[in-house]
Amino acid sequence: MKKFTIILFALLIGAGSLLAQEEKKKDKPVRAPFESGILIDNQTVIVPTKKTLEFVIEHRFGEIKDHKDLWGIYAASNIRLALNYSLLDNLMIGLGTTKDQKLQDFRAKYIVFEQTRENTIPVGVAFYGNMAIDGREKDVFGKDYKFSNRFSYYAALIISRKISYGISVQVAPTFSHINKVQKEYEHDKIGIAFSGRARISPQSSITLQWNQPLEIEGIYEHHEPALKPKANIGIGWEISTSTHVFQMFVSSGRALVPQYNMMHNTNDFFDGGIMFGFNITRLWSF
Amino acid sequence: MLFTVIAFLSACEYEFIELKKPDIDPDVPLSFKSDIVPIFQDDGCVACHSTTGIAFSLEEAQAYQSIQNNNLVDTANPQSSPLYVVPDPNSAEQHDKYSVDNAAKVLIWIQQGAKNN
Repeated sequence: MKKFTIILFALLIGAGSLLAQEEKKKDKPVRAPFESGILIDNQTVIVPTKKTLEFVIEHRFGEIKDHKDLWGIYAASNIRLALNYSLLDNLMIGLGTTKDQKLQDFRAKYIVFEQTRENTIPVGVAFYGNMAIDGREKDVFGKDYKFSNRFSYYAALIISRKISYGISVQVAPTFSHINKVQKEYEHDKIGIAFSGRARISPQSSITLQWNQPLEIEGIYEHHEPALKPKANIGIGWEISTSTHVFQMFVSSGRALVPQYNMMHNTNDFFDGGIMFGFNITRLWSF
Repeated sequence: MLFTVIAFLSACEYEFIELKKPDIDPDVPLSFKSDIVPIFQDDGCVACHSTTGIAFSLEEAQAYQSIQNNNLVDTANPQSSPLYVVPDPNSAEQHDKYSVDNAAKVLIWIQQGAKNN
């Protein structure tokens, strides 16, 4: 299994560098395929320009059940606060902290190449990876505790295409890993993350995501895993200005660090497992 | 970049959680008032589950009545009592959680008959 993951990563990175060599003619990148580096729960191919600091607030309310807790608004919620910094025009690093499981995460996003206006390069490609540390009391990890039990990882190769002035889509094969899980649970999960946006006015767009964990029997560790995670689906509305982005949506994934949605999401979007959520980003340039 | 990825991957582990036996004697009766009610305070349940909060109150005066009225304990099948399962740190429920020791205490109290003692 471990070998398999290493080969997978080598392939992903290899494919990226091969494609990068094809970039020869000078042709300007397309303007803003997405408005921000984040779209509901997914990362986009956007990295703010060099020396930009980004502050991100991500909030998910409780499940929409009934009016007693105002459809989840008063229920227990999950929140993530994060800072990202662009070291280069195509490289961003960031860290964040999340309420659920007291997750502390570190992330990096690298734009391999951008889609160009003359279609010399028809798609944009970015690589995103993160590592998170579960900050709960150590008894949660049971016997034989060691610090690395807390680690989890996520990697995505994001491929985007701005189809027209108003419509952009992207698809990302993803890989998730959690170091220590409950009996009968899986450690690895391969998934596909789809995101799209359709502009409805100069500043606002309808946004959509469909993150599907794949059930691949060949890589199961168990004959039948105890938990088959549900797709994290979301639909929302995005308003952007030059330094802010506001996103409001309903979605089915409560976790704010993507590997936990891909591996442990139990909410079925089509069976009432949805919640309100919002993201806010603010940019400062230095 | 490549180095970071390799460094991350080399730290990948494939371990399973095997829970420790809690340090609580299941034969010593637990008291609702002095053992269970303080958990609702310590683990933050009453931040939401209060007289002014949501769903039901777990404040001392209403806790036992709320548990009865909302069928939060199942003495025939303690492991599936909502009072235990929903805030259990190892359940998949999306809810704020007990500490591991407190979850074990709540389960033992239910196994002992969930008495108002």
